[in-house]
Amino acid sequence: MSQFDFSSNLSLGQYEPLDTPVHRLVPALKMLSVILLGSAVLFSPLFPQLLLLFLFFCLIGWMGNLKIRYLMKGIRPILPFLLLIGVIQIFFISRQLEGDPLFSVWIFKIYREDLFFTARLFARFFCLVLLLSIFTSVTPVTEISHGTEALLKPFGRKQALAHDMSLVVTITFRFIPILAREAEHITKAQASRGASFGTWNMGLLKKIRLYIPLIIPLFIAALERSEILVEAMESRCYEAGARRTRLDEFHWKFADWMVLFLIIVIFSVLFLSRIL
Amino acid sequence: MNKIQIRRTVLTAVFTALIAAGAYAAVPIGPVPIVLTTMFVLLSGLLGGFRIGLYSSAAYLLLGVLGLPVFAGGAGGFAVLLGPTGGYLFGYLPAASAAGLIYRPAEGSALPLRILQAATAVLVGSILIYLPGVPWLKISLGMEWSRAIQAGMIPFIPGDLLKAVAAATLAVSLKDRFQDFLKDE
Repeated sequence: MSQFDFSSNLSLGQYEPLDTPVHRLVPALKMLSVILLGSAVLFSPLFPQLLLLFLFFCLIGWMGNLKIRYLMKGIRPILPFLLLIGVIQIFFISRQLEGDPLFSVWIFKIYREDLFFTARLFARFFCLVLLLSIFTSVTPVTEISHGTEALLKPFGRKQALAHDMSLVVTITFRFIPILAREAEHITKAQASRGASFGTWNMGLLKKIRLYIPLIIPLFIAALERSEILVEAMESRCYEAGARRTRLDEFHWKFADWMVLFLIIVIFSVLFLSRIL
Repeated sequence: MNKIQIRRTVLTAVFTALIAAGAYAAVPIGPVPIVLTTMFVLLSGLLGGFRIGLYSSAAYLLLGVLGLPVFAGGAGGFAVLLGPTGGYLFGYLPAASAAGLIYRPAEGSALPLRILQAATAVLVGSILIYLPGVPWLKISLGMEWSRAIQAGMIPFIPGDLLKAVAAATLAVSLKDRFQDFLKDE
């Protein structure tokens, strides 16, 4: 039955409610750090920058009282992509490379550059997955919507954009598990009426055909639910763009400023090491 | 006025959620995976219209940039957006808005005409996804043109046709059913 449990496979909202220094950071800072460190991963070469970043992320995970093994679980769905890209890069992309190939297998010549490229690809994704799962483990949805609003504030005219966007983020997050559960119900209902979900030895086309009748009820359910939500919001006098107070307020503390400073320093050191 | 605004916000969020959910059903067949996302992006434009389509695909990209695992196979972050498949992701913006612009059925127009209109919208939308997608793939993986097209376009055409037919029929019937709710103004 495990193939029906869409909701348990979702890696969204795997928030670990703990009270650690990492959890206590201001949401906007957490998001800013993810953006900065994520792009640092993107332009860093393999050695030693990516290795150092990886160790740094492990340190953050340790400080957040999270299990690294559990965090790395997120790499599994991406592994097939990575292997494929690696294989394509090593065997099928012919380029005019300087120097002799490292060694050759059958008709393929294996170049050192290609191996490096693949290793860097893997290292990059390991770092990114680690970073993202740390982020989702230490940030609940409410904080994400707070952070979005705070980060978008400079862009919005009269705060309207920032506020709308944070509302969109919140509703989206509420809807993703609901949709997953809905999809689960529909699949189970169809399977109990004879649809052959769960038999894996069938062609790709057949499998795709099986999923089309799933999409239609899913869309109808989503639209009906949003209709109800609009009615509910209007009947409670929700007003778009009105100023409102909050349950939780987040204030920047000294520690947050220090972390921000540290992240900026790390980012600029990595950036400078790349161009200099 | 207020209700329209609430409706717009909620619809944007729902379509964003659907687009994100579509990315979980990813089938890896090469550097570019097959995803339901493209179909949902087009549907958000077809059903919601120009504005909601554009907003929800932008919100989807924003969620990804903010580091949430909403891209294909549970990936996320700025890196994916700049990675080999980033061009396709940026293509979602014009695709959804174009689909919304083209598919605006007049009241009481005939069913075949509406289906034709929806099919055109889907077709234009699909092309608009490839337009930035394939050159981007070529440059970021250092491929030749023929190989980029082979890896990033040809395997998807049958699936895209299937998705296009499904999206067009779905859009026509759903737009009928939720006529009042989906009206933009």
